[in-house]
Amino acid sequence: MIRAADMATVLAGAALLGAMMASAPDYNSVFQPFPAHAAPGEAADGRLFDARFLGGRLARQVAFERYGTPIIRDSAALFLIADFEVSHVTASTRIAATWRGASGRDYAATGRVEGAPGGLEARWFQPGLTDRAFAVFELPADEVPGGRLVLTAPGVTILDSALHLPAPPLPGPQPLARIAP
Amino acid sequence: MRRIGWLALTALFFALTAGIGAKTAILDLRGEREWDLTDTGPAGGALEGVALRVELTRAATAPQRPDRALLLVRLALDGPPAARAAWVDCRVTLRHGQDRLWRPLETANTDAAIRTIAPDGQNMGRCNPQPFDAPADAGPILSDQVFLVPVEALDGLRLHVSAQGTRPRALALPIAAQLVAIP
Amino acid sequence: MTPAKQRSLPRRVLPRVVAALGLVAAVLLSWWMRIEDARTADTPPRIAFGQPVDLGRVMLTPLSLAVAPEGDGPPQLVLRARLENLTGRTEGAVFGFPPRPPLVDAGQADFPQPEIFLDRDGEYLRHVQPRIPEEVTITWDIPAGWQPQEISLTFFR
Repeated sequence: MIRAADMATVLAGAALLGAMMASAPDYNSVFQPFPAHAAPGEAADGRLFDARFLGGRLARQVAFERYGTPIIRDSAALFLIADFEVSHVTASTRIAATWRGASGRDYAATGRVEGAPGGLEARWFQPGLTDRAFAVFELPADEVPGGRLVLTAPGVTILDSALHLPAPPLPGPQPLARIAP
Repeated sequence: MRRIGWLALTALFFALTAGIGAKTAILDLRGEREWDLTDTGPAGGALEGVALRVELTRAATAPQRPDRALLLVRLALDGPPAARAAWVDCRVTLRHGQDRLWRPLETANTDAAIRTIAPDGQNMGRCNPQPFDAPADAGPILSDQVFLVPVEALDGLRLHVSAQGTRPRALALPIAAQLVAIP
Repeated sequence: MTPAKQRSLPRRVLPRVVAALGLVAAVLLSWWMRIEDARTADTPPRIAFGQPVDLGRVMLTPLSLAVAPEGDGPPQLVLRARLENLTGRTEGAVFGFPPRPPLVDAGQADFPQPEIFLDRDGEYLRHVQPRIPEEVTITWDIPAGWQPQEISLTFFR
């Protein structure tokens, strides 16, 4: 009789331990920011800023001027220029943009258009001012529908918020998109 | 009774472990946040042996963007070198209410913006109370910082000044600036 | 429970010894398994041009290797390769961080750190996006006095 009770205790302990191990967040997700989701076209509400996805352009090539030098970048895939609006900033900040593709892969804003006028890497967003900005991604065409624009503060985002903005319907790719101020 | 003793010992060691682990985090937090504010008048005040004086405030708008203003704040820090040594990582921020915080602009155009707004056309550089090229006892150390703020927020702005060695203590003072238009 | 029922000394000690030995064995085994996991092969596998090399974060396929005397600059050793991102995110450190770029083994000469260019742009490689393989050029400045000879490249992961 005592044997059965001991067995039950051990089994219950093992089940409890298994449940705890199964439900504990993994090492990777512990370091992720809290996601804030929005409906298409709506603003998502973050800790440092709010943002709204305005629209986007797809292109096979992008053209821009860097310090007066015209530059054209081509791609084996597509360029996506995503326009968004930032408002309700609580502290002066920069913003890092990532495209969470339809397959779940993360595409960071491309560094190949660095130096383009109005580029995100040089932009600061200030409290009380509503500003528009854009981010340029390089990604396969099938990652765009069903993908999301993810905006965070740059650097470490633990305990911060990440704004997930779903893609609105975008027009088909054009041969060349120009990035102008 | 013996069991209580063991439990107390366990609790003590647990608290010690947590405390030692938390010490760095608490020190980091104290060096990062400003929660002990010393309110002073708009002219300036003193903190940790260093005197702060607001030399100049000037706000400028451009006709293309009349909703926003560039606010230039020139500060003078003065004190013995030993006191100034605690002022590394000097931080100057603007606040409006509880939930708006502006940091100084640090972009490629900031130097040109400061030189345009400053009446003497000079940029005194960032707030750093230990410039390496300054002589040992040459009076106050000037610095220029420029903020991009909405024009409607120009009334009711407060300036917070702190440094690594003073935080969580910080100087807080109201800032008023007359608005000029730059072509 | 009564003292009369007390067992003999070996019968009391033996189970404890067995248990302790089992514990020590488990500790040693798990420790050795971790060492085995961290161990790299003594002699890396040999690969030829056109064969992909798994560098962990990226798959690198060497395409060609040449000494490039053209231009006015100093002579350079030029490796052309294809890089494919194997991770689920944009990879900015294709040779790891801190970077361990391919090592040139050619006689006594010490080759400096290479530079990596994206062929598409002719500029420094910034990152490799998932599912978009890119061709890159990896160049080493050739040290003075080095004569063309048989060389081998070692890749790290």
